[in-house]
Amino acid sequence: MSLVSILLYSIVTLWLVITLLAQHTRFRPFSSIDAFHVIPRWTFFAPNPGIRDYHLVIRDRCRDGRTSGWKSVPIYSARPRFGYLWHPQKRSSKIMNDAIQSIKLLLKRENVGATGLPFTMPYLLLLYCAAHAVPPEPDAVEFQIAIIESTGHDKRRLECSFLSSFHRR
Amino acid sequence: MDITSCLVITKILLAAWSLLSAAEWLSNLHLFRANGLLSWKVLGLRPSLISSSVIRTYIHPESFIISVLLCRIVASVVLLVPYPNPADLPCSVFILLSCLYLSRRTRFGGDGSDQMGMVIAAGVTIMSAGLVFNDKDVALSGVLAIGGQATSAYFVAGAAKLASPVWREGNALLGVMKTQSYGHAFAVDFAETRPRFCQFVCWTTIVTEMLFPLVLFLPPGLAIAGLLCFAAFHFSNAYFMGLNAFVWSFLATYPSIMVLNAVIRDWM
Repeated sequence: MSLVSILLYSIVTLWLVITLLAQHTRFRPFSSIDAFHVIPRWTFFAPNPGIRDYHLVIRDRCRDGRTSGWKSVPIYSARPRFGYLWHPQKRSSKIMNDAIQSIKLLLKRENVGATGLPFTMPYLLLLYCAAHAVPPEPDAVEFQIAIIESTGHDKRRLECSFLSSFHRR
Repeated sequence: MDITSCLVITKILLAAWSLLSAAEWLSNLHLFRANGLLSWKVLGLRPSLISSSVIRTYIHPESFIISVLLCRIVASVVLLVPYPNPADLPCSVFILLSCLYLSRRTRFGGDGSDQMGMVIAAGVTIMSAGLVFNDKDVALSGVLAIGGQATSAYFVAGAAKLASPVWREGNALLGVMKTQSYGHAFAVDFAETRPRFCQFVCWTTIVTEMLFPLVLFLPPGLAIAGLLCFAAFHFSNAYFMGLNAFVWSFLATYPSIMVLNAVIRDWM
């Protein structure tokens, strides 16, 4: 057995061991040093199977203090007929889901919480996206975003899970 | 199955996944624009970025992303040239690098097929290097990387579901099928009035995923039959949940699993 193959076997074995350890929440610190995401997460649809859809909504506060109605930020598009072959639309909803899941985790973290959240990237990403995707009211000075979670198919149940502060337009 | 046949099948499936993934990202270029969901104006604020700001201004604009994706498409097409193909090694290296780049650039929006695609690209790179330098052990370490990660993927997915009450109670199937993102109207109509069917599907998924490592020890005929069942599982996920890219990347691991099966059975 050559030296190169011994080295490669060792690296591959180490990769497998770290991958298995990193699936447990206790070993999450691995992810903070994994800049290129080479340690995969294999817990597909578990333990939380993703039984909710997330929607981002935005409203404006005008100069006279009046607030506009909530407007939906268009993220989801219908799955194409041949979605089992070609489905690029899944990326937008996955990005949105990932960012919202990150926000929910950050809210639970003691060193972030509600006060630190506006300085985090997933929050800024949703804020920035909402502000640019929906045109402002003519005299809008501030805007606010909210995350709405929905469950169900025909009879959808809606629940607001996060409400931001007002930000300058 | 020998390592050469394993490489031939794996690289074709890797090329198929890589082409699909690159083409789907190309049709999502709006996400990378200044106002998009993956705008660098926001993602560039990450404190842990390792490259210098001068390099970042060159490697993160939309034009660079387009170049990477187009080069990846070319590399995938060249990978389809029948074996022996001297370009296998550089093409698989490029696909691997493009996976790492996209993962770093996007941060959000990657899924399990991207992770497995990266694993396959790494494995094919090592296998190609082993065959180029005529070192069977180097090639086998590539097989171990793919087969080992695939086995852990199925086992961990099953174990994580077992730990979840939503899965154990059988509510996960209907809950997921009711979503806009991964749902399917026909599946909801069928499953809504059949709670025992939902429970059966959930438990079948948990048990079969957790038993996946047994494929490595079964006689070849049974192992192939088992892998065909898992392939059917991925096709149904593509149809009902829209997880189209998983089919290519997970099927690409099966030749390596069959090689590992042969190696383990030889030892035994």
